[in-house]
Amino acid sequence: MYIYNFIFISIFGFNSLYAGNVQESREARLSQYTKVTEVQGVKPEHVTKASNGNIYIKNARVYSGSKESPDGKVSVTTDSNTRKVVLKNVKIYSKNNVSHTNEATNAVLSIETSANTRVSIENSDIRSQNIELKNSSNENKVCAGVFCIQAEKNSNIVIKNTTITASSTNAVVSSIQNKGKKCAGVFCVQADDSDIEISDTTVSSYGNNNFEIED
Amino acid sequence: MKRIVSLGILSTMTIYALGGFNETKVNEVNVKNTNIATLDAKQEGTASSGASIQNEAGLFNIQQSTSVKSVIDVDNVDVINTGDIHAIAENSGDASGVGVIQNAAGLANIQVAGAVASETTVENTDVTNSGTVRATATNTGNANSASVQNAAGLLNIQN
Repeated sequence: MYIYNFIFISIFGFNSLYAGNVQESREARLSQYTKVTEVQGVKPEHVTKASNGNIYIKNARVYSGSKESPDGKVSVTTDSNTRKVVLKNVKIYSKNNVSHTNEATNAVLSIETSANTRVSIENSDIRSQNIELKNSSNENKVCAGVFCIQAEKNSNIVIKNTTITASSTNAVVSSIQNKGKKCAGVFCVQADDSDIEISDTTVSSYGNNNFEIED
Repeated sequence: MKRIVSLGILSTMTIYALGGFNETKVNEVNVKNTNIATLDAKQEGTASSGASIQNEAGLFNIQQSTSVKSVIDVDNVDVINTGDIHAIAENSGDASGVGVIQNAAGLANIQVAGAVASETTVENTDVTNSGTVRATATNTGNANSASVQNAAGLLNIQN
C-alpha cells in the first residue's frame, strides 16, 4: 500500500512540478516583452491595428505593458468593408501601463466599428493591473477603461462567457464636448440603434480603482 | 461595519422608463451590498430642448442612442466589487435641441436615450459589492425640451 502511494505521489508531484516549470518559463519569456506580444495564431501588428475585411482573432494571448511602454494595448478598428469582428479564446493581460490620449478610446482592449458590423467576443479574459488610462478626446464617443466597444448604427454586439477584471486601475475621461457619450470604467459599450447581448459574463474589480468623468 | 445599506441602495437603484415604445424589463436581478456604499447624486440642471449627453462611470456600463430601434439584453452577468471603487460622473454641459442628459455613477449603469423604440432587459444578474463604493453623479447642465436623469447607485438604468 505504501509503495503504491509513494509511486502515485512521485508521479503526481513530478507532473505538477513539470507543468509549473513550463508555465513559469512561458511567463518569464513573455515578461521580457514590453509591447503587445502575441504568441499564438496571429501577429502582433494584426492584433494591435486591424481594418478592412472580416477580423478574426482566435486562441490568442496578449501580454502587454510597462510604464516605459505605454502603447501596450490592443485595438481593433474597422471601416465600411468590415462586416464581422470575432474574438474567441483571447486572453489580454495589461500591467503597469500609463496611457494618455485624445483619441476616441483608451482601453486595454478597444474595438471601434463602423455601421452594420457584427462584433462577437466569446470565452475571453481581459485583465488590467496597475494601469492609468486617461482620455481627453472631443469625439462624439469617448471611452477610458479596461474594455471599450464603440459601435455605429445597426450593429450587433454579442459578448459571451467572458471575464473582465480590474485592479488598481485609474480611468479618467476629461472632455469639453458637451454632447455624445462618455464612459470611464472597466466595461463600456457605446452604440447607436444596435442590438447588444451580454450573457454569462463577469465584470469584477479588486484593489483601489478610480473611474472618473470630469467636466 | 457601517450599515449604509438597504435604504441607500434601494433609493438610488434608479429605474427610469420614459416614452411609449421604450420598454425596460428587470427579472431575477440581485443587488447585494455587504459593506460600504456611499452614493451621492447631485442634480442642479433643468430640463427645459436636441443632442443628448450620456455620462457613465462604473464597473459595467452600456450606453445606447435610439433613432430607429435599440435592444439591450443582459443575461446571467455578474458585476462584483471586492475592493475600493471611486466612481465620479460630472456633467456641466447643456443638451441642445431635443436632448436628454443621462448621468450615472455606480457599479452597473445602462443608459438608453431616444424617444423611439427600445427594449432593455436585465435578467439573472447579480450586482455585488463587498468592498467600498463611493459613487457621485453631479449634473449642473440643462436638457432643453427633454429630460435630465442623474443617478448614483449600485445598479442604474436610465431609459
